Amino acid sequence: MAGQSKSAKRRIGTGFVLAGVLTALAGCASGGSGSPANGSVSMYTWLSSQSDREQWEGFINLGKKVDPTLNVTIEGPSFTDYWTKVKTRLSGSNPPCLLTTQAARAQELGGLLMPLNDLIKKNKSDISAFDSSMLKGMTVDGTIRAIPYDAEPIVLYYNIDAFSKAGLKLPTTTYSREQFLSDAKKLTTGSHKAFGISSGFFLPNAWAIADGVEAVNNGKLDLTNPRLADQVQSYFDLVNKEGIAAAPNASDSTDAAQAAFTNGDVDMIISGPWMYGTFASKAKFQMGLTIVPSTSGAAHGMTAGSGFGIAKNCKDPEGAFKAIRAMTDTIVLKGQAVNRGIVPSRLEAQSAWAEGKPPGAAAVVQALLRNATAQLTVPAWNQVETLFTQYGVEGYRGDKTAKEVLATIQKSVGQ
Amino acid sequence: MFAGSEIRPSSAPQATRFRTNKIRESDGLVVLAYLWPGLVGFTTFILVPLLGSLLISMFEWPLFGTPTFIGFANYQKMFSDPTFYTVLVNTVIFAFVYTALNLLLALAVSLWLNTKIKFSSFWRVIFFLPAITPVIANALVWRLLLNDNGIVNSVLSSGGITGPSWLSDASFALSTVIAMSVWQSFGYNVIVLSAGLGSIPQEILEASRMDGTNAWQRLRSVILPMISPSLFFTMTMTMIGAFQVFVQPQVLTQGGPGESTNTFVLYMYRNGFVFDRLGYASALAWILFVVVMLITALQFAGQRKWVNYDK
Repeated sequence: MAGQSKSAKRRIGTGFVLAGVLTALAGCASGGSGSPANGSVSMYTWLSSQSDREQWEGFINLGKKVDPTLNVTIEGPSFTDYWTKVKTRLSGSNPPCLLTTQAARAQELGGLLMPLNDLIKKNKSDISAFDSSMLKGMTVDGTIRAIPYDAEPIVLYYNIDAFSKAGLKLPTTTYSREQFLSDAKKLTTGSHKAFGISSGFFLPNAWAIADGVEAVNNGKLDLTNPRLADQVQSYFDLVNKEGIAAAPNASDSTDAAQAAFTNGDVDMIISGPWMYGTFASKAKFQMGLTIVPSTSGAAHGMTAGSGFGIAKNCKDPEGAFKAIRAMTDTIVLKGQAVNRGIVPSRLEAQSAWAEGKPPGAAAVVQALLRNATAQLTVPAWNQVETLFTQYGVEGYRGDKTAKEVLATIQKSVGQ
Repeated sequence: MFAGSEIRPSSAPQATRFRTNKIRESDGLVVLAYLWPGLVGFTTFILVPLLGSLLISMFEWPLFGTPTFIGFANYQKMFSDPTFYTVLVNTVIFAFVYTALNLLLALAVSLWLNTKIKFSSFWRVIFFLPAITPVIANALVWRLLLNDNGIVNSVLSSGGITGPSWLSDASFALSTVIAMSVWQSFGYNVIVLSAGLGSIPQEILEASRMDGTNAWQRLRSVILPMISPSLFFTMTMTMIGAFQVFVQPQVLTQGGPGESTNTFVLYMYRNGFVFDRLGYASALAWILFVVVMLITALQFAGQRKWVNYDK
């Protein structure tokens, strides 16, 4: 009996010890949470690559020239993950004070971002020095939620060599849809398509805004607007009716269309001016810039851009706003325009983008910014983008009309 | 003597019972000692989140901000949401077709590997490779292969055939997702079924041969009943995994065209982490939990009729 009891005790003891050791090991396997640096303003932003890190460090380093006491630490996930993780990050311990947002995402992040109007007033910041369309894009419920650092009107890039070879006139600050289609049809030969298209609503939206038609009216999603349906249908028709572009797959990222352009597989693509440097370094042809074609041929730009905002639960909004002011100073934005190729949101800094680029390119950007509309969105914009990526494929293939696609999305988002 | 004889029969079982109880008590402690980390893990990582998600499903719960209690409104909304039914049907179709094809292919390959072929171990590794490769990597490769101008259509076009739009045509998209998923995972079932086939005593197969059975008769009357526990295991696990399909439609088709490849977990993920509706996503998760539980319960109930545990 005594032997059995001893043996049982030993087994129990061994069991507890083994289990404890295994649990401790399992605990060691999981990562611990780090603590933020003290005495600095922490900024949560997208950090997809070294290039992203260099961009943010550029803002901070140049900002130190304006305010030597500027001390900003950066942390964050990839661009794709940022929009989800920023919400959970603010709910956690040691939330960051500074956040970045795109104008297109300002509505979605509206609940996280502090209204800046009082701070702007208190610090006598001159916001009229910034691009008005971008400020509108950063406005949620009538208050400014972020100070933009760039204002990038969407443009059409084209292959000058291909245009010249086909004997086509190079488009500049005006480009009508009729002319665009005529050019594109001449450039489309066999399996070679003139125009590159990727999935998502960003580009059809820029196409519609070029003709003055918006997807959001009075802060409400207006996808069933017949004028918008006509615009999106004309964009779908570029594939199905006109045959100048290949239908994208839902999972085709913008990278695929961009690579097709720089490889010379397509001759034209719609994108932002921030891609100029990347395209220029990859393309083995002379690259031109023009406006997104409109019916009249006149320039009407859709501006996209990002900015710095302050988290609603930031304990030192004054300190954070001071940092924003330094990082959006004219000197900083000019420097970033030269170093990183951004189109500055400050009007007086915009000339810096022209450095190192052909004169025509700067003229196109300026023409678009003179008549620009921000990509206004609604809080459920993510859903609009996701659904358009899914349903747009059917539109490009001609299986559904733009009216049907947009009505489906409007109904789904409204539920 | 009489008194003694009265005592003996009653005291002997008591002593035995006492010893049994002592052994059982100590065994119980040993069991507890070994189980407590698992129990703690189960409670912390499964039971509490399960109950937590049930609670969240009663709220309108954004990722950041104050949740609002709405009772069963998320469930009411779900049953009037047409996309909910679409993704449910898509997932059920996916799960049944994928499981059937997976098991058929895995069984066929296992039977082939169980014949006296050369390099059977090598082939086993080859078939198992996709199962140990990350799904996302496999899906990306399949996406490149099946693009409109991908290798598959290029090969078809060299033979004068115009390939379809595998990923963008609603008639092909779900089949493509199923095909990729089967290719990805059938290797695991090959290993399990091969082990089942390997455990069939050779004498039984020899005896059936001597009885004059042909290959089909042996498969139907000897092999399948003998590996039925392995088949049941693979069927149950494959079906449970199938209901959780996410990466394949996310990478290959984004759930499109339209909703043709949108699956339950993809829809749930998007609601929770893209559309910022954690409450609705939790309600979806609970429905999925119930559906998977019911189907698994049905499988367990049905196994009595065809699974043979006799050796």
